[in-house]
Amino acid sequence: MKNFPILLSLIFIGLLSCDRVEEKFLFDEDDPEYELARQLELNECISTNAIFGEMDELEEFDSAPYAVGDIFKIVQDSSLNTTIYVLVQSISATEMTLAYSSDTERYNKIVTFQESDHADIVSFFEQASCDTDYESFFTATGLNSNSEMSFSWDLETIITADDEDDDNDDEDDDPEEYRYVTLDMKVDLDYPLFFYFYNGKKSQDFVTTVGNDEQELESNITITLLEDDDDCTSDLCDFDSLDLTDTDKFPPCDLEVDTDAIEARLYNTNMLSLSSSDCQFLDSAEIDY
Amino acid sequence: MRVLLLFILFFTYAEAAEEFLEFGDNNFAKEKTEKSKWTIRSGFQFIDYPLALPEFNGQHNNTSEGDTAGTYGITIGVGREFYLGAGLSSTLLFSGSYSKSIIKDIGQAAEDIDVEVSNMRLDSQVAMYEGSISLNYLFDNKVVDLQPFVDFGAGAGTANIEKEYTRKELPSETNGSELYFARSEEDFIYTRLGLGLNIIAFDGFVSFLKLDAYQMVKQSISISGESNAFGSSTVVSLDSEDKEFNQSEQVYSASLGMGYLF
Repeated sequence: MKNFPILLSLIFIGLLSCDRVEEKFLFDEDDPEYELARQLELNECISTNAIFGEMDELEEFDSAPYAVGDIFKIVQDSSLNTTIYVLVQSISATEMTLAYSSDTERYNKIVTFQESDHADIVSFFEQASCDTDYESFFTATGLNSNSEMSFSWDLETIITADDEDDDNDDEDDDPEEYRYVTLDMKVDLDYPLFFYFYNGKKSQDFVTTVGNDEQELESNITITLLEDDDDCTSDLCDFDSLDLTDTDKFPPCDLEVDTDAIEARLYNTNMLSLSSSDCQFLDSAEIDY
Repeated sequence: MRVLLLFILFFTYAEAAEEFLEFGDNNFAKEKTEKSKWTIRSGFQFIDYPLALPEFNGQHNNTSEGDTAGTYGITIGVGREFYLGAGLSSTLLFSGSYSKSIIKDIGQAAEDIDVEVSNMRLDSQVAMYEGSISLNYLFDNKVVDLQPFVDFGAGAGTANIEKEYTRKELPSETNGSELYFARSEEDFIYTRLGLGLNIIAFDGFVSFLKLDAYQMVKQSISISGESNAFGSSTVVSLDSEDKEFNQSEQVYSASLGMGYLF
């Protein structure tokens, strides 16, 4: 018992530190306050995560961290190996134009990106990241960052479901034909907001013929800023030599944003679209955008 | 948790007392039981302290008359036991105590909505000092002596109570937020009647249990704070001071501890 005084002291401290903390749930689903509380949760998520505030700050394009004349290089690996150069042609507070020059000519275009498009993309990310209804297929990380966030978005199309009544069916409950897509993308505020589309990994696992083995495709896309003219070693990024006014080669198109895209689950869901059929996005992992 | 600790403490004392028996003597020395002797006491106390905070009816928490705060703390005392003869003795004891508690109630919106809509914190601290006199009777057993006692005490004390409650406004509510903050500084005097039992082992080591009823008179109270009720945009000051408060309260406490007779 020579440690008795120590034991006594520990019990003293234990007693004094036994503070009572109780947690209770105030509302259940039948209460009218339940939906309001969900809205509060969403509002708090948006207001407390720094990235959304930073996105709002960049809504007026004249405070963008890039400038007219800057050139971004987008590289996609895998079987769909592609390089695209994007020139910032013009920037005003409410609108910017971006010229695309690629080794795949169908990606050449002039895109107009509006302030309202930026706001719609922010709205999409806020909703998708903070609404717990979507957490089973959309998860965002880095929301407290001031410069970038990442998200993982699972999409799927079931072409033929499992047929439990078919005696010849396999024993698992998995669909017979399907396309599963996962987008692991990074939203970097150093680039125009919709450039998340060109920054990350897109993968697809699919079976489109019953009985075939599952195929897996993956495309990794990176984006960099060309720091100076020396970084441009291709004719594709020599925009001075390109006739950007040639609308056959560089069709003009407006970016459009579907803020409800999070509700769609099809494998080729894309919140971004282009106004003209002459304008095409980057194909990745055989996702049919 | 607290109850478990109290049990551990009590049986630790008992074990400590038993250990002394291993040295050969099997009783509290006869020459000590029939003599006056000094005593020191130390123990733990639970006191259900009555609150006197301004009333407030919140959506998720109320403050009303009759609210109490269960506080836990320590007591320390020193005195002398006077032997009266025939197993009877009387103990004059001077003691002090300090007890406190912090209670937090977190109101999460719902099981699947991880938002704290309301928060309540009640921080209570009570300090008391007193003089007491007891009448004891010793059952001189072979191994452990039992000494039931009744004691009467009188003393004074101070209490610092702080309560804070907040509620967030839900979307579409108008003036739906709530605020209640009150800090109370109280001075009181009291008389106390207690019933207890000393368990005395070899060489004068004592474990004791005691229940007390207090008649407490809060003499003065000083309150500072503010409140903002649901549906109102007006913040109301709760500041007040009453030097002649004189509110009488019945208070109960329980204590458990150890001591030494020498």
